[in-house]
Amino acid sequence: MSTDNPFERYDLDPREGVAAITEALKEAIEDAETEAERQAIREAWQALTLHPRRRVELALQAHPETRPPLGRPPRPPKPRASAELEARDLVTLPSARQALGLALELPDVPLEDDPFLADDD
Amino acid sequence: MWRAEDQALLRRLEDERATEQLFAALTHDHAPPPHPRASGLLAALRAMPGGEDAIAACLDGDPRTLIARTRPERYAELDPVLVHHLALLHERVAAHLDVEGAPREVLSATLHALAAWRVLAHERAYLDALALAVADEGDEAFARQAVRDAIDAPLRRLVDRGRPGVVARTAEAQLALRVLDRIPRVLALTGLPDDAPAAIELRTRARALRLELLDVGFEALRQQLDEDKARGEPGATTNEIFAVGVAFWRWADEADEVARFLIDHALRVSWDLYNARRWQPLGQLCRVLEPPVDACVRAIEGDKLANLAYTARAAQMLVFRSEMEPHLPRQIAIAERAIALCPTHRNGKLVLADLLALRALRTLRNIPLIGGQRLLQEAHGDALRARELWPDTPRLVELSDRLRQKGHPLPPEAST
Repeated sequence: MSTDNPFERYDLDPREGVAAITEALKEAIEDAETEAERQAIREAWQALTLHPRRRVELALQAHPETRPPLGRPPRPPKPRASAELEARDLVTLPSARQALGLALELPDVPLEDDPFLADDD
Repeated sequence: MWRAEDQALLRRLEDERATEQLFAALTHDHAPPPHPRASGLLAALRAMPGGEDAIAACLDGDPRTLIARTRPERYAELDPVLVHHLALLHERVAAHLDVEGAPREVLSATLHALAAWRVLAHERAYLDALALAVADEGDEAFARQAVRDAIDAPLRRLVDRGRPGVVARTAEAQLALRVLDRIPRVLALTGLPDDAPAAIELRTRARALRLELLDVGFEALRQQLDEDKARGEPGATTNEIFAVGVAFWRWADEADEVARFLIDHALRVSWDLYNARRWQPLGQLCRVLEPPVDACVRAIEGDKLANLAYTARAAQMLVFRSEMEPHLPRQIAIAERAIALCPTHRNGKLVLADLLALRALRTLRNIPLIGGQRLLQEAHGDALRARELWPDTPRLVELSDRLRQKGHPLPPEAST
């Protein structure tokens, strides 16, 4: 995205006001990975919140949000309502181990002694 | 099921893609894509006749129609939202293009951006509402002032970027001058009436900024001329400074103001050389200054009233040139031009009268014994005109005697 305008760089809507700008930039700082990024965000926050004239100037220099609204996203598919068992629910699934012809016996080890779950230290 | 919301999402994605393609085409792929909100521009263009087809063509790889749609003939006829998007689009295109590589495109984009901002300044309601919503202070006066500052900002930035490059004659400074020189074009693009306050304000501001930029160049030349004067009599070095001035005049698209500046300063130097009878450097100076002096003369010939203050000065430069010219017919032609420019010019009249008398004497010397009547008439005509222009022309005494000897005496002068 080609812009030095903080409203566009941090995807802020100028009309949402100082509180929304602060909230959005706070989140951006938390997500920032480097100190340079955090510093840039701090500077943007100062420009947008401490200097109202600069905020207006930058707002006029940002493309206004005039895209048609998108409406609601499609709802996720509902979980199956019926709790009744069907024949396929009762079928025993084939064993992968048997299909591969492996005779692997799992050790009967209590959880607290399982070496995979033990702490490194 | 394909819902209306899905269609809206698809359209938004298409608009974003078309906006990216439009921007890439306008900047020759020299800039990263704009913010997705910029695609609001396409939503506005889509609503206009032919907009849908232009966007479809752009998505198919041909952005030309869409580009044409972003360059309306009159911005005042458009919705302020669209005008705002276009102002930003053109401003960014201008910022991303290389002014040395694509000067015409940068100039065009800058003129369109200025026109769009000026229409928003005239319309006021849209920007004031936006500023008030953003200012968060509920202070209308503050919001309005911030809008005024913001509208002035593109012009201010242009001049600030140009100013340091005036003396070095950079492309950036040249762009600033060209934009300020083309304010009438900007105002034509706006479609605003000439007497609209926003139009008057832009004209006034641009004129002041243009003079401010030119003055940077003038100051450098003035300083060099002052230093040269302090060194002693004018000469080759002085003419070199004027040659730089002529280069500055060409670079500034042959600006009238630069030609006038050069004439103002050249007059002093020319008189110094003339009074010291230093014809070689004076002739050289006249040759160096010929293009800007001729341009100034043409401007005066085109509109005498508007250029009244410079008629006598430009005429004097022509008179100097006439006197330094080696060939009589050319000398007379230049002096005639000076008198046509400024009929009351004292030196012009004096010099032209002398030259006409000289031509008449030469004509009389070369009259053949048979069939010289026409030449005799010509010499007589020159003598009459010379006497009319400057009765005390020294050569007239000899000329009058010769004409009397040839049987064509001058008529007695009308008593005043």
